[in-house]
Amino acid sequence: MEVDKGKGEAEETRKVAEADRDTVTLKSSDGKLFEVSKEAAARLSTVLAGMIAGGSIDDNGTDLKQIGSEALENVVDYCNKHANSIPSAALISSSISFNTAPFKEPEEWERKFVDRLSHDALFDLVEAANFLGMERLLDVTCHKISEMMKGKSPDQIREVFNIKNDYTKEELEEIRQELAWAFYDD
Amino acid sequence: MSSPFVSSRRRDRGRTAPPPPPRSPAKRTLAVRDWAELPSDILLDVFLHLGPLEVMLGAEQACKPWRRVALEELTLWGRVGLDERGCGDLRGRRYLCDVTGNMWRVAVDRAKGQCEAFKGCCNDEDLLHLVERAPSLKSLSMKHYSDHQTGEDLLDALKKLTLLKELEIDFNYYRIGSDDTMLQSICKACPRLEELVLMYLSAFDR
Repeated sequence: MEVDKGKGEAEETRKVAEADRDTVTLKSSDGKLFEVSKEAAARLSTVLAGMIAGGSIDDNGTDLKQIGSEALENVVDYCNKHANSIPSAALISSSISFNTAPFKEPEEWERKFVDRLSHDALFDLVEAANFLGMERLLDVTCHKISEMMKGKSPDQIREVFNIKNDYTKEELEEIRQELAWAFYDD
Repeated sequence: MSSPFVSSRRRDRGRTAPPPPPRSPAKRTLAVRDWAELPSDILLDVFLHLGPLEVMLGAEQACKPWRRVALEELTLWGRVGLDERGCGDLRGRRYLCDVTGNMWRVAVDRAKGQCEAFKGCCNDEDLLHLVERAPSLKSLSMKHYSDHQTGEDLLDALKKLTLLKELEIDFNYYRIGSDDTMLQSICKACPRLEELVLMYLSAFDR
């Protein structure tokens, strides 16, 4: 215990210094550094909040090896924009009140934020949001992806999302049978 | 997070396919990621936004991994018919009420008895299906319901849905004045009920 005391104190001092800063530095898998408001990071990401509270934030850049620089830039951009926005109170709710997860429609800026992304960037961002425990960003990105599927046939969805049709003719026929009632009779 | 390794493994497997072209910044807007590899917890979130009907008719038929998520995630089928918006625009498919009228049976069956909320067009036969396949319903909203004005079948069915907390019935016939007997019988049949709405056609509806 005695031996560790000195190290523990140094650690304590480092933590205090870290706590004084109002930004944290994040490092992408390809080594790029990004600075983000500590308050916004802690509020929007459960994982970053845990790291900040637990003192595992590195002054020289906290390693986020799972996130590439393009996605991390979008994450940081989102946090900064969120910090500057005034939330609206609009909620979607069904007439039945026991809706378990009422979804708050994306704000105008959130909509623009996801609309400008390429498909690949959206894919990377939704994964990053999931990894960092960013509930709102995950909600907004998943909502955007669902809009890209809405009203589309399986063929159209494959085209939009670069998906290979891995069904055999027989398997597709089987699904069509189950769902036969949903299509016009030929 | 599983991704980059999985997709490269996939590419290696293709024997005759030429190697994928290197990603250049100019081509970045084209989709290169294989969305079939989207982690299943994220895909479930997307599907929950989309609603059961859209998932059935579009997304789950896109590829096997997506269908697996649709079939395995019972939460997706726990709230059938709710918030199905824009179904009328689905080209080449039947009209909203027809589609939901049929699709909900498949959806309710997929929930394997765990369906907790249902909203949609409903007759006595449909109601029996719900009692049988969705015994843990907590919320029920029936549109255009017709019980041939006797109410007996309705009450018998409601008695079996013992967990019911919210009930909304939109009767497809006219009624003048309030129906106190029906209100009382329903309250007796469903002891856990917290919210009850009965609606009848008005002269303005047609």
